[in-house]
Amino acid sequence: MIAKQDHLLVVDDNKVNRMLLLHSLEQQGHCVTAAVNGREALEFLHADPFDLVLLDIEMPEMDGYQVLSAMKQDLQLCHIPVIMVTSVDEIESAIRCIEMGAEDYLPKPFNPVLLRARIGASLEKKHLRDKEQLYLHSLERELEIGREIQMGFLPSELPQVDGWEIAAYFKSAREVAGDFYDAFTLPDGNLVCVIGDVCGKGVGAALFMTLFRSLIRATSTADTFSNRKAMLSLTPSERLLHVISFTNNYVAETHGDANMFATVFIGLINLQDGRLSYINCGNEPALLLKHGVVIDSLRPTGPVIGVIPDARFSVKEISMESRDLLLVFTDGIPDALNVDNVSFGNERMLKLLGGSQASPAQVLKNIENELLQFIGAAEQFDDITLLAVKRKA
Amino acid sequence: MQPRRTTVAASVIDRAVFDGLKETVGADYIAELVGAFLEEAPTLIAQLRPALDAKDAEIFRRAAHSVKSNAATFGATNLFELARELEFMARENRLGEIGNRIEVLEEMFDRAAGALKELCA
Repeated sequence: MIAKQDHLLVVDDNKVNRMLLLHSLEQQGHCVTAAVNGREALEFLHADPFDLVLLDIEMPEMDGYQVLSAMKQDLQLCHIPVIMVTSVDEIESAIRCIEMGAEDYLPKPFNPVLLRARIGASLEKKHLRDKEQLYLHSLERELEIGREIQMGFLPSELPQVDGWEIAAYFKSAREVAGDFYDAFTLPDGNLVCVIGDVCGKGVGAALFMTLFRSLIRATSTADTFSNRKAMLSLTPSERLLHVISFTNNYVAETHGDANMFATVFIGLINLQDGRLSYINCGNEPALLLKHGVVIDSLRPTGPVIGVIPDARFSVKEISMESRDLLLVFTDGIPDALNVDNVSFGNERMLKLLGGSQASPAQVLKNIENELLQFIGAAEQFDDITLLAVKRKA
Repeated sequence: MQPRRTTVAASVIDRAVFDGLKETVGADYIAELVGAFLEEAPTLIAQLRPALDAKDAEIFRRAAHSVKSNAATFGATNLFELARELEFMARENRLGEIGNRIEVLEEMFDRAAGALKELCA
């Protein structure tokens, strides 16, 4: 591979200095362009990519400080190393320039050995930084692809079912998330809604999120693939136990070494009579609301899934009547912190649930608005996921 | 080596600096550099008197600075020292004390120019 020739810009109003630098640098194998003042330098810098700038301080019109300052404030130019060219009386100016972001300085008259050494060192650092940037961009691109693919693991739209309203809110803390939610109807007409939170953050949590979510979805709807009769004959309770036990055992036995687990709330609603069967695997209690007031708290009925093979889970059943609303969420809501490190907590959320007229979408919007305002300038450290299901009047 | 030329040049040009530069850029290119200096410096020096009359310390300082820089490049030590002094005086706003220094600088430049031409011949 032929090494790329570095493109250097020499900026000096003094013709002799310009000629001298041009000659020396070209002899050292660089491609060199010369600018006679600061303004011309910035024009050249915006027109062509440069690897290094040799910048005189004393220049009419626009001096070296102004060029350096303009470069450092310009996102396109701030990464290009600048070596200040100074006379022996200008060491203090050189220090000021280095404080402003210049890479190094070169005293005049030029010493060819020093010139070669300083330029070589600066270019080497620049090439390393360029590589780092390329690597970072490719990482960002990969993460973006990951994020797009992961979004495909969340339902693109929620089921529309007569007599019921469903809404969801999801905001990941990072590019990829460990939280997930799902809502789908089964062939028997029942509705399944799921919310989950995989431990940890970032790519690891995201990979396991896709695994947990897929296992839950696949085992819930297995009757669409095989053994249709057997699955159709399952009671809601048996079906939920099958889904959770299978998922738990699969992850614990196949990926036990990873020590990854998830908190999950899974509910199965008979849309005809409003019976809700659920398993809460270590997740935040889901809330059942009547007229905007919490009438039941659906606490865990088993441990988190993915770590203990053959863990025992139990199914509980409640009834959802007209205007009752089920609110399921991950710990990203109560645990959200504001700039003063105060957590959002459940109390704050309970005040936002609205009256009996509020739709699930309105309830989630209220919580979203209040929560984002509460977090303010603080960093969102955990994924935020909410799912609300309401039985219409 | 021609003794006469060496003697004249040595009094105004530091041969160690000049020869070092010549070695770095080559005999042909140093003639081009000297040519550029002899072309540019008179323009710079010509800016000093009007700047002094107009009490424009900034233009005065910058012109002196450029002469100083090139004088250092070619080893014109006396010219360098005086241009540097002028630059400092302008920086400290002491243009009133310049006296006959511009004339001395012109003289020094002429001598340096002559010596540099000789060295490049």
